Amino acid sequence: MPSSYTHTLRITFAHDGPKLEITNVQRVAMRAPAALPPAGDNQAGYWLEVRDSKGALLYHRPIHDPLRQHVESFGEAAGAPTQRLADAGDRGEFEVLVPDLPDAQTFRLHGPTLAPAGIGTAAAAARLASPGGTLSAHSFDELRARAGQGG
Amino acid sequence: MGTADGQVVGVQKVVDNGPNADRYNIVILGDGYRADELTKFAADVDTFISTFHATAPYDKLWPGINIHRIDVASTDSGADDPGTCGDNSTGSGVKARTYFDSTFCGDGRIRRLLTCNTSLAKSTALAHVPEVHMRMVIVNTDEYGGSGGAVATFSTHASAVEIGLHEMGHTAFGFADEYEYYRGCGSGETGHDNYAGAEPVEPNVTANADPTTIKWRSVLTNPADGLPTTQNANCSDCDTQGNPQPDDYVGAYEGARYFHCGCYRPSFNCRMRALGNPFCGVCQHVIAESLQPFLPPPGA
Repeated sequence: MPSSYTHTLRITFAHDGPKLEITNVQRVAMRAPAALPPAGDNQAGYWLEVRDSKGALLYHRPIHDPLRQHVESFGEAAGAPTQRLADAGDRGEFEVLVPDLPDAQTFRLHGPTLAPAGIGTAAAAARLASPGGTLSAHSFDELRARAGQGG
Repeated sequence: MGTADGQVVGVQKVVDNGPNADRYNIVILGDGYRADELTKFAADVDTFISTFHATAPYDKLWPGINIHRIDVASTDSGADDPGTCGDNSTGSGVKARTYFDSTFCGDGRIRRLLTCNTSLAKSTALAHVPEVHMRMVIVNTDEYGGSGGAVATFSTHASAVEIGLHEMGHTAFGFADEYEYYRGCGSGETGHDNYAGAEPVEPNVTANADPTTIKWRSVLTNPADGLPTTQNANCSDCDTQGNPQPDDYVGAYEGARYFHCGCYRPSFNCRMRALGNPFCGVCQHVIAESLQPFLPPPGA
């Protein structure tokens, strides 16, 4: 990833059931965490990526459970095992930070395309293991314009 | 409760390693501190900073990190402590009028799930530090508890800081959980025996235990030992064997990302598996790689 960029896009998503949309974009004079390499052509989980006009990957980072399908329980006291329980809510918002790279053309958010399936079910296990698909795709021109308009 | 029950009274850059535009910015907000307790909040933040600074690998990355403290005075001290909760626990029934509405039993089911108004915490942090990367809320109660998500929330209990560090691993670095279940070992839960899916995107877990291609092959302790380091003989439950290697050994241990078999973690234990442990070598490596852009140039 080139070090010669000066701004980062702070992109806010809102999710409500299956609906996922960008609700705000800010362009901030700050740096983003370094890119991490993809795990392969087919990955399970959530991640974001930036590509140039030729489709070359410029930036990639994993994201943990942005839709908050589960909540972590840290036990009754310090030292108790951590557990996960299904989150009752299906609405919320999350942010991602994406470097505004000079050659950036497209931004995509990837993740499980199977419907949320609670916890402890075969469907939930299948969702954990399924290759991620494209959940959201936008051009950098669109994102920059939106940031310029105040979000 | 909410913004009618307090106000932001000040912002302090308590760890200043350079311009916000160039550094990794952590913002710590307080909840449940009255105006006359803000000195305590400053001390509680200093305590967290001491722990954070001593936590590998942040100790070596310190020059790349700024920490900002946002002082918020609430009407009342502490957090809500509901009289009842879905886990059949009982509390004092106290309702504290605090700015971020912190409460135990935050989801109605788990007493120790200490939550706050994360939307307000996020916007408050952003309003004062536009370059924020990671937000945390320290709640003025010494009862053990905390929660994760976009804002890591934890109490002043001495062990609750581990919740903040674990959740930062998720939020800031995309780490997976390295424990091999949802409800717990021996819980009788089903659907967690064998992982047979796509390679996990998270950098600290893998379905590939081939030492020549495993995603953390560059930090394996001794590739010649072969992989996996441990295998679970009974995929219907957690592996009960001990660690055949030293604590800091990086290999591939079967049992991770909520599955008993088919998914591997780098070390026997790690903060992403169980609180109170250091980050494993792979997590430390990924944290260092991620924060590399924020370090000042050599000699600066």
